[in-house]
Amino acid sequence: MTEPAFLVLTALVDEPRHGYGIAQEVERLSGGRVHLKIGTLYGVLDRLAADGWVEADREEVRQGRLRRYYRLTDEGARALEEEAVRLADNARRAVERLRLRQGLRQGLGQGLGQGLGQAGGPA
Amino acid sequence: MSERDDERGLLEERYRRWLRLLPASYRAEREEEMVAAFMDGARRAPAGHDDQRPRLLEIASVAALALRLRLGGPGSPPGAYLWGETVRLAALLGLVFWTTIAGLYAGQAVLTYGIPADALPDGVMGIGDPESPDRARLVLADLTPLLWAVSLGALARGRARTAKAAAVAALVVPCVLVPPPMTEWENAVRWACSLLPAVVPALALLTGFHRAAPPPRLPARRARLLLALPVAAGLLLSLVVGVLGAATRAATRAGIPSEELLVAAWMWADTTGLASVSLAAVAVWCALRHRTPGRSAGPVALAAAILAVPAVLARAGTMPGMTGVTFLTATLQLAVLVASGIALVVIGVRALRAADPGLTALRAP
Repeated sequence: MTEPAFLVLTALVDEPRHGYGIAQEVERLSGGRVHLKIGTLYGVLDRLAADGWVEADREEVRQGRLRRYYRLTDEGARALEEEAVRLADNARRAVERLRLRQGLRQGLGQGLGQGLGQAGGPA
Repeated sequence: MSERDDERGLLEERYRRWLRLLPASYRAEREEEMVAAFMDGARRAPAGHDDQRPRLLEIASVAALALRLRLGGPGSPPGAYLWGETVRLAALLGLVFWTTIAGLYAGQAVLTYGIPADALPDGVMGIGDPESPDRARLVLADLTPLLWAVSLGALARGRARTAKAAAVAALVVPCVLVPPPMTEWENAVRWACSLLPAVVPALALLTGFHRAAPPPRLPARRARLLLALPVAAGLLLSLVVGVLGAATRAATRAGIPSEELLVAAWMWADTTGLASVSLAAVAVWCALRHRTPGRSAGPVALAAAILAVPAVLARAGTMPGMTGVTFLTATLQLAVLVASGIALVVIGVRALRAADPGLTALRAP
């Protein structure tokens, strides 16, 4: 699953949203890092709809403009959860390894310090 | 109506104009909500932003979506899928052709620079002293077409991104190693024309394969075969060129004038000459296949027809200034290319009409 697809699905978890609403929510969720262009957004929506992960919810006309809302399907929610668990597992493993590395470095530093202390001490 | 409303009306009209890039059926379904999304985005654009023109990145995203929809993959409407397959086949045929050229150039590089024998005539002897930067640059330039082989190999193994990156590198690296002659516009045009036969398959590769139409991953053995055959054909051609050169040199030594003959023969072994021969061969193959009941040559014929266009332009664009045998050979090549191109289009369109009358009915009078 690509990052834009992941973020679009996440944007639809709490409520159905229309095209621009999804783009805005994706920007919020990514901390302003991902700006989905309209062509890109609809490409992602097409793929997610083809997979049955999102579907049209309702249509509204506001200020003479059509807004079509999209909602997350149960299948889409399952796919998103699987992906989220996979990403969280990856992140957890990365953090564990980094802590281990940090610990090893600290241990090595202390050991080296003690070794140097003994070598430089009185005979 | 206020000035602001006029501006917004103009902006909306411009957005709609760009949305016409999308297929009509898609527009019927999505245009209104896409315009609404565009206009919402424009309303919230930062102050001072030129709100009468769609932003460039927005246009690029619509163009990319239009390309993906028009060059569809499996599951797309028949017309879009057919065009998608045609463009993907054009990319594949182009890669096979350029991999053959890579084999030829690599073989020639070995013969020219690797063997210190005088087997080749003066015209193809390496430029620059051995171990000089010029020599290294030219050897590298002769070997860079192997990037096309990398691209073909990656595509055969289903790695579209690597294939695309290698094809772009195959286009760019030679221009860096041997900068094009840009002193006069005629030279620049000639150079641009000669580059077209490589640019078109690269563009077909970049646009034809996308998320909805990934390349199939061939089994390792078949992928190796797909790569080895054109490389071997190219190496064989380089040997033929080498032998031809040696024979001409021997003939000249014996007092038989053969330089003109050599030049004419070489013109069939360079990129444009080989493109003429290859496209004529594909046209004949398509014509034979077209006559066999139950076998369609449509997509291959149309794909080859796409590749014939840059080959014709390359041949025609590099002809000014030619005289004598060179001009005659180039004219013959141009005739072969044009005839092959026309035959391929006719076979392609006929095959499509036979396969699905609905696909071409709209264009029929």
